Amino acid sequence: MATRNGMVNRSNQIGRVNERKNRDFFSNNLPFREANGLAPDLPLQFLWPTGAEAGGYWDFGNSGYQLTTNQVTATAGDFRLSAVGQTVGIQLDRKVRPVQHSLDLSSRISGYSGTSAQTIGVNENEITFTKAAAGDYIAFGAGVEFPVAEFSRVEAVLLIESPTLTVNGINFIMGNIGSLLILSPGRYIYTCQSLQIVNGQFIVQAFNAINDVKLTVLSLTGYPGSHLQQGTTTARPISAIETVGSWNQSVYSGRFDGVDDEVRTPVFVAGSLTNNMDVFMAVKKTAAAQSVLLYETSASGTKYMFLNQNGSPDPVSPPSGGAAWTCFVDGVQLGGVANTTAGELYDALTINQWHVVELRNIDMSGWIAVAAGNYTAHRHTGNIGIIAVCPAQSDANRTLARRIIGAQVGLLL
Amino acid sequence: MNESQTQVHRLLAVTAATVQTARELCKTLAPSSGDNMFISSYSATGFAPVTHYVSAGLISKQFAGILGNAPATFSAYQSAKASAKLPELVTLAQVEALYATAIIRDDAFGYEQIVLNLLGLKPVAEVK
Repeated sequence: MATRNGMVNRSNQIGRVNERKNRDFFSNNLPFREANGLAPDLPLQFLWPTGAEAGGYWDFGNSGYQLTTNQVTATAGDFRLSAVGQTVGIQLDRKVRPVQHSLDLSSRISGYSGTSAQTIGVNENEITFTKAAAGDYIAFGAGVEFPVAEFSRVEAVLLIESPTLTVNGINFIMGNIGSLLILSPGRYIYTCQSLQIVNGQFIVQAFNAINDVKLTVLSLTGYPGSHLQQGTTTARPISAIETVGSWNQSVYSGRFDGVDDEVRTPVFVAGSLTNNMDVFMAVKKTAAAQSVLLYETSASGTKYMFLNQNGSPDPVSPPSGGAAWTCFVDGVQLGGVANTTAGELYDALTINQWHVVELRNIDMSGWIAVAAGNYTAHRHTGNIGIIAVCPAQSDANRTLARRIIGAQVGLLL
Repeated sequence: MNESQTQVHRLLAVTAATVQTARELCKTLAPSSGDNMFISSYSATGFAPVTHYVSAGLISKQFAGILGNAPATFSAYQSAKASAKLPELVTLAQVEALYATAIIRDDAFGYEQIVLNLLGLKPVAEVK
């Protein structure tokens, strides 16, 4: 009895040590990531060494790359998540590195409308409004400085000076989204997040009449990539937090309601993804219903992945070119040498538990979008952590990716 | 004030006969975020014909405040149309017919599937 108890105790101790090691390994500030040239919050970028490789990297566990809305009209702005429970309108593609744009705005004026009150300042990154009417604007870009994808986002840090402002509440718009409200004379630093570049340009526009305001662009950063989006409020996933594991790890994710929630990328050109891709997803099902976890278009019938359905002999993804898909769950290969069946995957995805699902060497060359959540009649009820679509990797890289994706949702893989 | 303080959760199920009215109202009252609502199809059997279309998620408290109130909804609709200088496409009678058969639940957050099951609605495989 004593020996048995001793073994149990040692086992528990080893478990605690491993948990602590794992927690330390994946915390921010660890030398591993720095030694590999990885930013602390972008641990998976080794799957796309230059950022130009095919695929996408979306992380519902990192609010720093999520925006509450994706509205493209100039109304209330477009902001990053500030609290759990907010809807996720855009999940930025983190595969592509942000781009610092030049601040020489004067050479890139591409449009102008108004009363001749707007001018470029003495310095090339200054924009001065002396007396502008509502709607007056200066446009920059014209595809010269901002040859970025249609749905790319930018973030600008602005210095706003209005020394002679006499009327409170005057505001104007930087880009197509986000009105800046100036309440009193003075100097302000304002981070204008997630402006949208449309047709390769952004706009500085007076929202109301403006009198004597100088705006200096201190930095202008672009976020190219194929971002997962949802315009309809009720169809957006909601940011969620839960506590998992014996060390009470906080796990952030996107919660999909299984009714109408969906995120999808804009349409891209067929061939953008190749015929040899790997796909990883951290998922948790909270209902027993059948589902498809990743797809191109709802009800496409041919371009979907991770079909899981009780007792179904259908493959988890439609075979293509004679390939036989084999699916991995938490690093364990399902089924035999033939296609993993939807029934096998269904059994492996235990309800209310996180899992990392994985498909290897998948042909996605015909896909023109990536979406999750609302494949017709196979909607996902539950949570999603990281989605990584990348060129086929070495087994060592797959193991590392799986561990990182799993660790974020409390899995020791 | 952040988004979670200004929004509340609702589950809305409307009949197939009134779904066009619901879509028009949502699109008009929330042009950038209310478009493409009510695309998930349901029926009692899980097979065609579709009897209900469902949306579930966070909506503004302002929007939630007029849900179920046909005169208030129609008044807001008329104001939005007037502001946008667009013609009205639904009538007060259509809004009343919509609410007469609609299901509006404020207790479904996190339990959407259970509530739909209790309502006897199953998802229908239908190409959008």
